[in-house]
Amino acid sequence: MKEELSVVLAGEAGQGIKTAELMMVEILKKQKYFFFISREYMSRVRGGINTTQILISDKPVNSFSARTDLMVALTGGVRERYNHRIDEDTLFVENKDFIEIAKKNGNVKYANSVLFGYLCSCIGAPGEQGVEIIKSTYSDKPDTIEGNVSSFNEGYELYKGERKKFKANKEDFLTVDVSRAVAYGAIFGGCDFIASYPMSPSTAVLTNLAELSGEYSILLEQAEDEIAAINMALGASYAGARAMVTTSGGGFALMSEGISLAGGAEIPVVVHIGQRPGPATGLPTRTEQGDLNLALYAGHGEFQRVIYAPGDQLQAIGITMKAFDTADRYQIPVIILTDQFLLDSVKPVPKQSIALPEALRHTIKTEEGYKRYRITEDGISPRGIPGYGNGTVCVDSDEHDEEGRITEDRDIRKQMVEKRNKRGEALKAEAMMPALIGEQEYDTIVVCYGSNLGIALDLKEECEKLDCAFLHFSQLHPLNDKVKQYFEKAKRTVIIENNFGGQFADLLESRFHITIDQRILKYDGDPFSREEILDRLKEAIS
Amino acid sequence: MIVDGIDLAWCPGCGNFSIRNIIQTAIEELGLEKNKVVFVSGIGQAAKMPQYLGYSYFNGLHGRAIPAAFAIKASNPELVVIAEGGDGDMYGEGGNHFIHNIRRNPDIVHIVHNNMVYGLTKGQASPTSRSGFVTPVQVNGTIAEPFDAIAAAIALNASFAARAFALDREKSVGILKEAIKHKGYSLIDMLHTCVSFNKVNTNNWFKENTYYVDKDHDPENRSVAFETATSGDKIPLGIIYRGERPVYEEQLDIYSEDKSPLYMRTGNGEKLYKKLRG
Repeated sequence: MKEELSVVLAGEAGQGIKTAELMMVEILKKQKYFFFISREYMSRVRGGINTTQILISDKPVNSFSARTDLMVALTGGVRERYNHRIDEDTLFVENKDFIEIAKKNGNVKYANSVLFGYLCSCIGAPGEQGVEIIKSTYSDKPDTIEGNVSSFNEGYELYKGERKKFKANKEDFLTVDVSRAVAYGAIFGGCDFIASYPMSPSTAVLTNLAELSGEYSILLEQAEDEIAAINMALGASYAGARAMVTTSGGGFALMSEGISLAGGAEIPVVVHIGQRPGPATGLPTRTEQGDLNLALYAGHGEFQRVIYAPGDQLQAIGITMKAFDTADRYQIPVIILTDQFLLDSVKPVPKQSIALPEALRHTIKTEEGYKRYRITEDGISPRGIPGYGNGTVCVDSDEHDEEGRITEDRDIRKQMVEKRNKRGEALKAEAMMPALIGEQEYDTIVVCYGSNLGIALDLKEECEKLDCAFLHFSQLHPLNDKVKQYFEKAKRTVIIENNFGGQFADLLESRFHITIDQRILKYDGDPFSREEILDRLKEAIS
Repeated sequence: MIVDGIDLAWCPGCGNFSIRNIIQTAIEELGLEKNKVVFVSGIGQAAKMPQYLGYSYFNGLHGRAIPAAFAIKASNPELVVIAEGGDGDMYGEGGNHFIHNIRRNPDIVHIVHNNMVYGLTKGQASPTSRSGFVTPVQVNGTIAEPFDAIAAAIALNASFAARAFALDREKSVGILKEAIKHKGYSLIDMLHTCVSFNKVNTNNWFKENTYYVDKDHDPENRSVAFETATSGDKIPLGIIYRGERPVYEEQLDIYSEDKSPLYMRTGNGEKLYKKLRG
């Protein structure tokens, strides 16, 4: 993978890595390079050490790499903390030269522009393009432009190494992180209501929708707590809005009773869970796939739900859109599981891959005598909206009859339980199939889901040499019966999960009566690197 | 008890029967369109009210009626939204929502049945039980001070705070009509009796321990209102405070040009698609 350049920027929170990264994204867009950016940061507002990895390549790149070609340390202690990501080939640069140049040009704050110049030179981008970006970045501070530009130019000259050039991406693309992609998917799905309480790493979905709320008419409310948030979403949905909440594991735990209400009262709602390591407060800004069981079992009583786990930007757009339709059509809670690593990752998305959305509303105008929970063949009753038509729309968290009126009649209770759960069969039948990434013929099937899609894409060819194929799931529940065929064909089954126990492995084992032979697990708060997966995979199949 | 052909789950003599009558009368007298009224309730004997009225309802979770009611009104401002439940439901389990909803000031009515005891769970102390109130759980008497919802609401600058007594039908109908007509959040702390579990705060007790604010009371003076709510040995009844505050949904950007409720909108996916595809 030497056609790839790995640049890591390490600095304190508030030191300006973000500005440098944003300017890098601009230059990479102008150069039409393929790239992948991921971030890890400490749970603090100032200080500590945060890093951003920028991978630049001749071909699409989708996953975190443990390799570092150039590491820029803007603060002390970087070498010690990131020793495992540095080897003898790594060019390790400290920022004292940048600061000196910045000071010489009039302000220590210009160090970011020195760094940006240095990086532009490293990736073989023309200096004029970098200057343009500097000018637009600092357009609101016109008196700093001269100093920033001269700092940039000196930074550009400071880099003396090989000026690596990459092949340009021919397609038109947009560059977004997955938080933004979830927000886009929500708008595609017709979302017009979001209530949430801020919680890392899910908050960016809320801020993205806030930014877009004016243009796309979204009612947004910051709730006093997560319990209020889910109950607001359910109220809005009852009144005919397409509603969602965004939260993380701890917040979702508080929403459990609301999820049960959505199931019992048959109210559509979409829940985005940006996972972080638990239990309790855990590691607030780091990554894990530890909340599948929570998503699967949250809420008392028996009812149906769907859990999706998109693996990148394009899937986040498509699946979030789909989540609104599934929730509305089946009148159930639908959960989208992402994680910090995925939400904070950035890559170019080909524009023509974005499909035209069709957000259909599955609601009706009511007439006098309307029954919200009318018994139907598939268990799904036509859903009316209060104020739309002459009927009254009565929804109830108590067990209820067809009209939505409280009851303790045994026969009705039985009918209602069956009604609510009958849709499970249809949900299973239309569940999204996993994607086979690799050859149709394989010895070992390597299961992964959600954020590990990038690893599967980037290791596809190397794994084919080992007779392995990846099977990536972007729907985790319910699972289509046809999934079993992949396991029947395999001599060996391996799973990759960013957690301690292998929660999806347990689910697959009980669902399909199979045995997962090896579980490759990680729970230190970091994402898997593709190098780690390759090593551990080789070990697992040896 | 069967009333109007419905099997009501309340005890004979329960104050909830009078409250049901008060609500029906007020809505009829105001001539509200039947399909524009939505009741939102939590769980408890009071929260069963919507089941017995004939309007649309959202009977949600214990303590959580307020967030749902707020969102229903915000999603469709054409609806008349009335949240209803008991003192435990609204002031205990839902206390946090009570506070923050007042800050938002949506145009909803909030009727809280206050009988100073838990009914459906059979006789424990409620947030409004008087200190010293003995129950099978608070065996040595309730230690905590009773929650004064009207004082709290005025402190939070609620735009309408009233207290009524369920057995005074005529006066209560008047107060409820004012609450429905009021633009913004309106709280009615509705005192009533629990014939099964509260043998202390009886009809006679309420008669002896309450009084109506007189004609000279200025409900628009917040300091006077707060003083009225908090001083004296007896509990004041009537419209204690009324002020003008901007209404939540009237300030929403989404209704600045397009007044249609959210259910009538078709989303903006296509607009975004065009923008992203360029």
